[in-house]
Amino acid sequence: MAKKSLADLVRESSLSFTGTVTHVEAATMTDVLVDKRTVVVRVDAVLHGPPTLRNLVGSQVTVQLAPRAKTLAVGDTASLFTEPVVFGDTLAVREIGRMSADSMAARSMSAAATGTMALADLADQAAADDLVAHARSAAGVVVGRVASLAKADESAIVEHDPDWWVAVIEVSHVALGKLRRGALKVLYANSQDVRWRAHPKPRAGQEAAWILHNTDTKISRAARFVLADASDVQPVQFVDSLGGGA
Amino acid sequence: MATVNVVNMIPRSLSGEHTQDSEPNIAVNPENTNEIVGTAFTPSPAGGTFAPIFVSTDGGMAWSLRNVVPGNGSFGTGDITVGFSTTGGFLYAGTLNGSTGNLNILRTSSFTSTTPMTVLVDRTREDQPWVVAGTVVVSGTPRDRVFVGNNNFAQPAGQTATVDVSQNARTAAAPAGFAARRIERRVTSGQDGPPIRLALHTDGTVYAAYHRWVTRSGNDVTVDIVMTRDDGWGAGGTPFSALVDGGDGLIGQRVATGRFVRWNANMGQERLGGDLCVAVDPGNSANVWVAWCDRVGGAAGTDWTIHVRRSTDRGQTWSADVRTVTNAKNPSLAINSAGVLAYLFQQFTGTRWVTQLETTSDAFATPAAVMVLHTAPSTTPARQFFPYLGDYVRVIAVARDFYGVFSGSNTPDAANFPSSVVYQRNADWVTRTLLDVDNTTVVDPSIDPFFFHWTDDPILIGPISRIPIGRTPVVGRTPVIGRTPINRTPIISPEPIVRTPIISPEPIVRTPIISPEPIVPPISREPIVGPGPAVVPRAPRGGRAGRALSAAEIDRVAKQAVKKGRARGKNLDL
Repeated sequence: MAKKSLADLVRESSLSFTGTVTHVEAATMTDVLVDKRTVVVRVDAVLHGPPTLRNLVGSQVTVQLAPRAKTLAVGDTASLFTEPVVFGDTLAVREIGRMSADSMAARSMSAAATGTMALADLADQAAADDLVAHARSAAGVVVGRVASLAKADESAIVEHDPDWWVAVIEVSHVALGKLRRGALKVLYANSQDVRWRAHPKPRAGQEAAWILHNTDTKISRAARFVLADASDVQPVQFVDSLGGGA
Repeated sequence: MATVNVVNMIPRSLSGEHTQDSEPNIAVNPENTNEIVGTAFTPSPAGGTFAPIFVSTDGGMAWSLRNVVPGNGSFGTGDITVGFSTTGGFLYAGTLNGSTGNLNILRTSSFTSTTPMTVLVDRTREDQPWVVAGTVVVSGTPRDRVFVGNNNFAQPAGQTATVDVSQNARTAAAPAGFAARRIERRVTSGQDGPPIRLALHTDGTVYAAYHRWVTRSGNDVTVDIVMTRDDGWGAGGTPFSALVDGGDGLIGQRVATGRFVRWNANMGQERLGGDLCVAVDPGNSANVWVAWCDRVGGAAGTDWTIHVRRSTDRGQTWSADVRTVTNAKNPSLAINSAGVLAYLFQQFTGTRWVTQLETTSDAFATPAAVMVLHTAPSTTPARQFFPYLGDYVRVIAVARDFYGVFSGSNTPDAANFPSSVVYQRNADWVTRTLLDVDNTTVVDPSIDPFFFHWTDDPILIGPISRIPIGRTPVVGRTPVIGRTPINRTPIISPEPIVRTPIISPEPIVRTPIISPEPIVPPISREPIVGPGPAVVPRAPRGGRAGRALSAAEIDRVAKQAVKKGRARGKNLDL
């Protein structure tokens, strides 16, 4: 297995943990095909992962070791970077990469003292990098305050209608894109439907950094820009991470 | 005596989840009713681009999730329904892709595989795909007839009610023979309603029902309930044209006309507007049932009423209402091989949502047998999005049994489950709190999908027994017993039950499922059940099932291995 940086391992995996192998050629669930590279690992510390998987300490999980990685023996410890593949009574995960448990010891001790996960900072940084990349690929990023909100079009009667509204944003700063200060119309989905609930819903008077995307005229001609992603509203300070302004 | 098992479908490893898993659906493999797939608005627990399905291989007692559905949005996939082929175990899904919103029709040959489902159709401007599937043998070759009802806004003249049909969907490359067939033939107000529901009979009869939207003023809609039928698997140039209305002479028999619907009205944190289902008698395709919702009180009313009607002449003429329920939604109907009708719905009492299953053998001429599956306050948990419980539920029949799903509050309160329940996720039934996988951290209540299995067979398959003993004990998964019948005491306790390992004098034999995928279905191995998770030893080379190690043996081997590992004193750093 080629060596990867810790940051890369965190980015490429959804869940990492330090654990101790308790069984080899075994699994914690019947739905998993067991071979030489299947081991059961007791989780000693969760290094990073989604909120629903952060309390796994003490659990036994099934790990399918990476095809070219060294096999593990009972009693071995390792820090495993993984992708969950089956969520059942226990977890079954696929190994993406591995580091020694010793290499995580200092981080784990520090994290335990603060009640955090040892690699949460790297996971947060990866998410922040993704957000910056998302913003840089957008049509523009501005700082501004919401001056008014109004319905854009008559809603269609479908369950998943976005219910387009227009926010007029008084732009005070242009961080990215060929835009000007002053009033700017931005389209947003006001629907509470499952399809649109996570999309930004600007509030009157709200000041924020707004990540803008070009509007597909097939959906509406009410505004040139649209908030098209759940992450398209950010704290004003976000623009500092973009570097430079227009 | 008929009994019902109710199971919370969230597995123990996801005890920390608190998303709104609403709008569930279900498919049962007719060849092996231990094999069941469920769906809901459930996001991938680990993120990524694929949303999960719920999988059970033990008749619905234990569930696990696999991320195989393309398009994992903030709340998972969009609308999703599923159906198994009659033979071969092929699973089909119709979804609104959670990322793009497009209609996707999907297929997999191995429902337990972790490989993403194959996309057969990808189309914009769609709503509410509804899947049914069957298999016929043609010249010795099985062919899957698959039908996906959908509201296709790309259809001309606002005639949006549509069924995608494939006569041989099993193996062909995309689009696998799927073609969109418009079933609306009348003038509409600009569209039809969201639900297009289907019922398939083995003689090739296919019923497709829909809401024709006749007029619309703002959110007020006048609706006809229309039934269409095809007598040859939906094949031919003009499918679903077998029923001609006795009144206007147009294709599609109107079951009811001029019904009032206020779109997006609210009730108990839920939105209202489109409820419809259809079921056909497997013993006689002339017997067909339909149920829908409308507001009896009209524009000035506040009700949302389910109407149930039946036809005994292949949908040509219809009874008056044989059953109505006020302030209820999500009707679902199914008929078993004994001619028993199951009627599932969710009723708002003003303070609670009550999910009820009724069964009748005489078309409600006498009072139906009633089972309350779930009842919970309608104010908690708070809604995260619409729909709160879902725009549909589903009950299906396989042979004499009924299988179904609904969504509701997961608060672990025994009073909420009058027909008992099995929880996989951790819960403290004394304090009525959910607990994370560590059995300590309190988890907020949310909406979960619940599976149920109804049977009147005194001998049941599957493990069952949970007793409320405070916190749900952390035990290994109960061994799956294949289809070996196990005597089970009918559930009569109003309290939740706790699953414990079943001890059987018979050898545990499971049908091997072969799959090319790296992590796949069960093979013949006996899980060792102990105080921790069951550990399944590897099957020995040569394909024979591995012998189950005793707990003592495991401990001995583990201690030796630990000692050996320590002696080497190595940590891995690759």
